[in-house]
Amino acid sequence: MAAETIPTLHYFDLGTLGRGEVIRLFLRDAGIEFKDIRHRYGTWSVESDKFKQQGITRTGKLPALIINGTILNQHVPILRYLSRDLGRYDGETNHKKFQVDAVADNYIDWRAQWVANIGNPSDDYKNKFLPMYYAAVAKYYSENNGPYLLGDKITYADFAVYQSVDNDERIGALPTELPAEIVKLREAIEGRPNIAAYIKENRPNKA
Amino acid sequence: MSTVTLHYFGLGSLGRGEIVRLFLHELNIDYEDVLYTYDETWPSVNKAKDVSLTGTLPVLEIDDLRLYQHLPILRYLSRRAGAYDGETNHEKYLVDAVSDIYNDWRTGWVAQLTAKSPDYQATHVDKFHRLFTDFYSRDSSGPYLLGNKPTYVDFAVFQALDNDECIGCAPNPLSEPLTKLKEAVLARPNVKTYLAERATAK
Repeated sequence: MAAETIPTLHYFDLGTLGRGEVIRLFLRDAGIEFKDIRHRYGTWSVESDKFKQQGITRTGKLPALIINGTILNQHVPILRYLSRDLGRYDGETNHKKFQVDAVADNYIDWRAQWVANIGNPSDDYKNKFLPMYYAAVAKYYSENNGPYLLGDKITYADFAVYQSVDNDERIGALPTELPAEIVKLREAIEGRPNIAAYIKENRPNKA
Repeated sequence: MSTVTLHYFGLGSLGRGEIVRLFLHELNIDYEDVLYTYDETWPSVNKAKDVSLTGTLPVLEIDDLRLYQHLPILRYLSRRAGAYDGETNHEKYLVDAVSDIYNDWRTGWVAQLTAKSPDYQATHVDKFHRLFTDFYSRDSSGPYLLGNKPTYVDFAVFQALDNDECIGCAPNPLSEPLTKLKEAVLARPNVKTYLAERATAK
């Protein structure tokens, strides 16, 4: 990675909600210093063309990570870019890489549903979609005995799944009973040295 | 080698499974198609036959594995072939980013099947047509996202154009970079016959 400039993350002032926070967690965990720019969420839709012209985002959407002189959009592809750059946070064999990718893809489907349910989560989302999502993801986790998807080694998908739990909790939609694999993942992430304090600071209600 | 089997719905060229079919043809991998009816009976059929753990299709059986989620399947097949992806980290990112944008397009397309919104073409199709065109304009040395080198995402974007056309919502006019992509995929030796037969069946 180019040492002369530190990466800049552009996202919204949404606390831990939304796609950008997954990247923040990942960067902190990896020990990568970055500029954390938080734009006002409310005015983004009218300003997105301006930011596009300024070279902050290519697609008009956020998050955008400016790194090594390029603008990167789309949050899960950004995680994979960083993982390849670091040579860590992914599986090693084709099958392991697939498992990580498949869980991340389940998370992407989850995110689309979550965005549609922020204001007032529907019964369908809470009682049907979420139990199915967490059960499907837990099934992948059960293959390697946890706490992470691939066992002892953390990958980029773990941060994404962790954020789905966090974000569902914050909109009051998290199922009361989560699969044991997901509970175990949550504890493991919250205990990671580089991010434990950061997570705790942003979760004032949790002991 | 064990038989390769693709489980999907009987939807012709529509939907996620067809991209996997097209890509298997491109890779010259023989496979067996198992088709299910796309209606309210699917959950009980799935339960009885135990096809998909997530309840979603496509599912690809290959190398003694059951693979889910169509884009991860394409990436698995690309790594297996040692081809159809970028070479540098940034090239791989571009292929991944456009496939993620395609995924966003797909979510909207699926919703439109039931929503039948009158503005779908003016909003959704137009927005993604611009995004795809922007990315396909960056390397004009060839028709594909990465110029002369086809990657898995080209098949996904090709199918997005096809599927919008199938529901009567093709981008009009189709931009030059995307017209070139469409022509290039249609002419690829391993998929040419398959796509020609598919067009006649429509």
